[in-house]
Order: sequence, then C-alpha cells, then structure tokens
Amino acid sequence: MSDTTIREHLSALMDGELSREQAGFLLRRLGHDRAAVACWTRLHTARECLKGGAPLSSPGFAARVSRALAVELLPARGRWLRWSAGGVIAATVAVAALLMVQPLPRSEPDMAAAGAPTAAPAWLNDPGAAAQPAAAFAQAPVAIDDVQTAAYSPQLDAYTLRHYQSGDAAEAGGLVPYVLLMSPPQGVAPVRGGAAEQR
Amino acid sequence: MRARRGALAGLLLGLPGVVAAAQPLAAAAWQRMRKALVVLDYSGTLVLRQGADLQTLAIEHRAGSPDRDLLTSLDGRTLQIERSGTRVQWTLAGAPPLRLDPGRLHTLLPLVPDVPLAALHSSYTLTQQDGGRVAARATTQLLIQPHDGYRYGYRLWLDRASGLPLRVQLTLDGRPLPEEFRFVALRVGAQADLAALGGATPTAAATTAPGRSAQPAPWRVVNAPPGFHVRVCVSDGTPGSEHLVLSDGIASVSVYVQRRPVPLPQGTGVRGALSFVSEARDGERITVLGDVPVPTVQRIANSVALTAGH
Repeated sequence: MSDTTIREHLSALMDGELSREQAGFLLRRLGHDRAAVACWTRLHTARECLKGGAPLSSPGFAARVSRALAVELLPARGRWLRWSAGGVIAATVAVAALLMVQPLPRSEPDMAAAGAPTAAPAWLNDPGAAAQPAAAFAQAPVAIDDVQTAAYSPQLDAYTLRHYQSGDAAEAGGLVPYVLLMSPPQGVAPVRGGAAEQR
Repeated sequence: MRARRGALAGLLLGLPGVVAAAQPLAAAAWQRMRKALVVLDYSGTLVLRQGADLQTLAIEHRAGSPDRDLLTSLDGRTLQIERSGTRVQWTLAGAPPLRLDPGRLHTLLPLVPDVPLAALHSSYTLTQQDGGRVAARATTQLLIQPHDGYRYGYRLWLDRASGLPLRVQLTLDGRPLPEEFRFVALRVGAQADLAALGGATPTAAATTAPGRSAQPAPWRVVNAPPGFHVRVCVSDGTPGSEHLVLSDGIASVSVYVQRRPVPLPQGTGVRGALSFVSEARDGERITVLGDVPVPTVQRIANSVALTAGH
C-alpha cells in the first residue's frame, strides 16, 4: 500500500468513512508502522488547528503510548496473546489519538475577548472564504464590499515573487514568502541587473 | 485598611511607570528574538494556517557562518526551501528548483517580521505581556500594534527560555486574522540535522534577482498612506514596465505599471494576508499588491500618477 493510499485511508478513518474490514487492517498497521502513526497524528493536529484549538499533545504521543503498552503487554505468554496484544495496541493508539484531539477550552486569552473592537472591516467578513476547501480557496472570488473583485490567479505568482524579493531590496522586513508559493512560479524571467536607485 | 489603601494608591501611582517600562522590555524582547533566530540551533514541527488552508512544516536551523535553514512541507507535494546565508533554493517535487538571492539574511520561519527596531518606531507600538504556553513552553507575548488601519499588526509568542518565536499571528484593528503559524514541537540547542530531512539535490536552477533601475521612474505615488514611502524602483529590463516598492519599514507594497497587455484579472482581491488590485487606466495596466489591508492597495493604486515631463 502506497503512502498516498495510507494517507487517504487514514483521512477516511478519521471521517468514519472506512469499512469495518479496512479499518481493522489500518488499525493493525498503526500498531507497527511509525510513519502511519505520525501521519495520523498530523492529520489530527491539523484538524484541531482548523477548529481553532491548540494541539493537545506533542508529536509522537501516540507512538509513546504504543511503546508503553507494548512494554506492558509483550511479556504475555503465547503467540495468540501477542497477536491480541498487537490488536489492543493498535486500538489503544487509535483511541488515544481520538481522545487527545477532543476540543478543550483554550487556555490563552483570546484577542477578541480581550476587549478588542468587535466590528471587523466588511471585506474581511467573507464566510464563504473560510468554509471553502483549501484547494478551491485560491480560485474563489472574495467579496470585498461592493468594489470590483478578482480571484487570485497563478499569473500573479510572478508578481508576488518579485514583490517579496524587492521587499528585501527595499530593506522592508515583510513576511517570508517562499513557503506561500506552493505552485512553481511561472514567467519569472531572469532579470538584468542595474545600478541602484534609492530615494 | 489604611495600609491597603496606601498599597492601592502606590500601585496606581506606579502604574504609568510600569507601562512606560514595558516599551523597553518589548524592545529588548524583539532584539533577543532576532538574535536567537540566527545564533541558536533549533528544529521542530509547525503548523501554518492561511485562511482555510493548513500546512504542516518541519524546520531545521543550524547556526554557523553562514547559518542554514531547511523548511520542508510534510503534507501534499514535497516542498523544500533551503537557505544558506542569503541564498535560498526553493524546490517543489516534480518542478525545477528555483534559486533566489534576496541579498540579506532572513529566517525561513513564515510571518516573522525581521526588521531592525528602528524601523518599527514611526508606525508601530511595541508592548509585551504574558503569553501562556505554546508547544509546552512558557512564552512572552509581544504585541506590535500599528498606529492606523493601513497595515497589519503582529502578535508574537516568544519562548521565554530561548527568545525564539513559537507562534506568530497577524492582526487587523486588534483582531486576529486567519494567518498564523505555531510550533507544535521545538527542540533548541541540539545540533540540527539537515540531512535527516533529505535535503534537495541542487541541480540547474533558475536565478531570479531584481535589478534596480538606473533611470528615474516616470511614475510616482502621490498620495500614499502615512508612513509609506517609495524605497526603490526595480527594473525587470522590459521597456514600458515599471516596478515601484513602497514600505513603512515592515509592510511593503509593490506597484507595477505596464504598457502592454498582461493576462491578469482586473479587480480587487485578497489571498490570505496578501491584497491586490489590478486595473487598466489610460492604456496602462496598474497592479498593486502587498501584505497589507485592502484599503492600502486601493489608495496606492489610486495615487499612481505620471511624473511631469513623461
């Protein structure tokens, strides 16, 4: 089974869309596949962050639970017992992962609750944008008051990349852009150098 | 009772002093963060949130001369960004690598405004307060609040032990934007293992580095928002194409004026913290974009005018 397939199955398991047989197979795999456990943990971390809550445990938590249980259960006698122990470990890892992502009240003070203004600019209040899947986010038009709107298009990537590079030239701190460019920048022709002109 | 009143009066009298002292403390925290980003070895996993999009990333930083960063996406297509000194190599699986040379050191941690303290004073106010815990570490929260609505603010949760930014969030009018990153695990001090993440093999790479125009720009911005000034005019070597960069020290905005048809949608839009405007005017295409609120790019776009004599 490829990494992509495992990832899809883990995602389906999270959503409760996996058949009982497939779920059983995947849970057995979680008992010994560290990469799958890490992926499972990341999926839950990402989902928790999407909900706005803080991650409740460090990465590797599921693996540590698994190892601790293995230490307790492996001395058991008999091959059948080892098999059942493996099943228990896998199930416990799954349950532990599910338990650790239960939403809890946020412990840190929230900006909105700290007396911040309640009225946000109208162009920010676009419920559609937040609800869209990530893949569709870039293509969807964003409502900004009643002004003319446009969707971000890949053609803007070249302008964006050049903007961030020149931001450094302008000695403006700005934000590091490179991770934001998830598609190969197109049309960024090599640029000829020239004398500097500061104003 | 009298003693309690005295204590209360003393507290009230001492409050302005406490507030006044917060600014130097915040300034010191800012300086410490900038230094920590360079001189410490650290590695960890972080989650980057941009609107509805979430990415999990791993970062490794190794101090040295030059210092090195390796940022790797853990979801979807493999993206690796490697920095060595001022050189950055951007590699997406299945695409040719792109080598960039911005010309100055800059951490690969996203959303961290990395500027000297002096650049902040004219348009922002720094304060600090307790930040609670992030990634199981105690933090101090640094607030960078803009003086007006033409730029974003920042909230930074700084590790008390190391000074490193564990979480950074953009704000507008004091409210958080859905643009932030936060560490979920961080190791400080251990020698970072860049090879462990399988660094990209450098191959033939395109280099993009902006040149600066030797000629005075025929275009200027006549009514920029307060604090924004044109810093450079960057040339891409194409006749009839101008690129002005405005900045207030942290936020920067690019203005592109092109005298040829370009395949860009017209209108105003946002993608995460990035706002953009593109419009045709008198046979020119004017495109303005930057990590600023929409009114800022709109005002700048409306302020672009031809310099006398052109």
